[in-house]
Amino acid sequence: MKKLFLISILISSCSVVRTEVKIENHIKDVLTNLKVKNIKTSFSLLIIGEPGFSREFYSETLGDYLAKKGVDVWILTPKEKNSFPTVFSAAVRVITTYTPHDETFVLCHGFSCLPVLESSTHPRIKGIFMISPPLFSWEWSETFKWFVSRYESGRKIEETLDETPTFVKSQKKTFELLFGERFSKEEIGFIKRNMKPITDDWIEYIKNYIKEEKTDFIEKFCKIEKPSIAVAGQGDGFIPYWTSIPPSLYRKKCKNEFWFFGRANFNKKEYAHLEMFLGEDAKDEIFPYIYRWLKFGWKKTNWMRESAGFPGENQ
Amino acid sequence: MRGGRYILYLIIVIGCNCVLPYYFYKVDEPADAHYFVETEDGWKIALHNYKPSEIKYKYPVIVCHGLGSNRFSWDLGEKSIGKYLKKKGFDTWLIDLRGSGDSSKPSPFNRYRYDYNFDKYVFYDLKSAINFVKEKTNSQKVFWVGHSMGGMVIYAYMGMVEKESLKAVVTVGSPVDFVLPTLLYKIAHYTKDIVYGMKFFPVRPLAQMLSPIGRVPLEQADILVWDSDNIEPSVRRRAMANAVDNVSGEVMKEFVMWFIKEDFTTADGIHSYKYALKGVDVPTLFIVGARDGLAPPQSVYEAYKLLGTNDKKFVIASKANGFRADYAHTDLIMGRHVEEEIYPLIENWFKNHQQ
Repeated sequence: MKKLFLISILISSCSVVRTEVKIENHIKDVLTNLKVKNIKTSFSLLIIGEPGFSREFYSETLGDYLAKKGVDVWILTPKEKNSFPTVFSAAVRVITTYTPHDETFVLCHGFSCLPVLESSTHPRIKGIFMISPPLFSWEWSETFKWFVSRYESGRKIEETLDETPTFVKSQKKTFELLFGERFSKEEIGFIKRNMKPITDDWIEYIKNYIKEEKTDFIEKFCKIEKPSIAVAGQGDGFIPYWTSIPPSLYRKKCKNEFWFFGRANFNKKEYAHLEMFLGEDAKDEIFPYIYRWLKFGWKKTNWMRESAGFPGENQ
Repeated sequence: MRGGRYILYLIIVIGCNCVLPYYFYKVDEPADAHYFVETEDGWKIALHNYKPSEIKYKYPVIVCHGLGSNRFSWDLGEKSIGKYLKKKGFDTWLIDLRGSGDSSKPSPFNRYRYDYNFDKYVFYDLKSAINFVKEKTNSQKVFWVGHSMGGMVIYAYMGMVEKESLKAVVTVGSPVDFVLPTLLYKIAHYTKDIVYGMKFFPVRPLAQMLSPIGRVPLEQADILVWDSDNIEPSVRRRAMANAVDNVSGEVMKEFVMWFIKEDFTTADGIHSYKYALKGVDVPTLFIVGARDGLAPPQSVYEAYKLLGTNDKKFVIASKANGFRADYAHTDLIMGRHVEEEIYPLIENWFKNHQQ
């Protein structure tokens, strides 16, 4: 651990030790590591946060849950889109060099999954868990398109979110329509505290992506040679579940998995974009699902791939 | 003897529960005229006409219900597409497909049996009904709006029978893909043997029996049928008492076959209704609910994509798109705000395609 420059060490109330680690001297981004003291971790996981949210947003929600389950959790929210491949490789190198784990799982959220797809061939990745990845660009909601058009460099994200588009009849705040309506005041405060400015290259990347209707990442997702899964919330107004799990995905006989959370799958509710991370329901339904997949689920996928093969794979 | 008495009481209670709600929650019959047309295979199909005092549009509108339902699903008193379109000047016709509503229904006392499948709707009922309406209104073409299976039958009709009679079409929550990653779809796989063994599904008495508690939001109904918050309790109760009809086992078998084969085909599995849409150039509006558990946007999208015309539109009814709610399957036809949000979409589509 000599090369690691420890910026600070914070000990949370639940004995999860949070360490901030500088990746490399020339890289601005910082990794957050969550670990329960004196517990031998079973595997490591690198969470790639969505641009616009801080590392704390993930460390105090899903990260905290998984760390208590004995997962060696690392969190990265890449500042710039253009330097993502370099930062990602360096982060994986840090994790696999300075922990007992030779490989790491990667979990990404929303738009951060697109550059992860590009870097999915990294040999040290054990499996990929994608939450609300926009795999197929179609039928964005009017609110989302409006939000992206209003959100410009230098403008505070809160300013945009506090406005209401004129076409929304019920005077619902943009924030609620995009991220979820069932948050308590404390949770909304937590989300807003953990929102951070997005760099120009991320804004440009997202704008271009949604402008080009029907940009298709399904092929890339299905070709990932590691156990992978894409999940979505049925009530997501930011990245709707039909963009995460589009029809072409299940028709392709994709060897990687996909699933969505909503009442149609006997969940307690149709999960919105940030409800997958916040609230008691997420702790009961989403987090255990993620943990189970990381611990056991990926093996099933892997086993199926190696022994049985998938329809069309050998054609 | 005492046991026999209790059984008699039970039969009376169940009987009353099945019959009485229908009379308590009966929907007044507001249609102006009722017609019956005989199909080529001898079934009587009911058509209910709403005729405006002044017909403003050249083509009549035929409105079709979904699986296990009848015309009342579109016509529940204050929620009535018939009344709405009539007010706007459309000559409107609500159809009861065979086995539902006022059309011929199988019973031990007549010659009709639950031996009909989805294909019979397409090749016999629609053909007769469309020809009859054309003749009655002296019109070359008709508009069609169908909910759920009511839209699926018109996909099939346009692709396999003929499309020349259709001026424009609106489908509301009508899927062509049946391979979504939901547990409900998986259940269809596991229960196929039960379905194959059933002559018919007696959902009408069941719904009528449960209609007195239709005001109570049920989690199961919320998953499958509607979002309780988005439909008035009184409407739910009336829908259960009036708008549900028994389903033929053969129709269900065909649905299960589509789930298993992951295709939308004729009963013999030879001809694909889905891919036949490539040859259809009828302007079509697809309306889907963002929270529809039975026909989610993904399951309808393929129909939109395959349809062989550029004059088509895909609308997802969601809050983020400016609607007042994220619509579920039945909300799309009897939800709280259909008169302000869904009916006008249908009206405008037909209005824009009248020439």
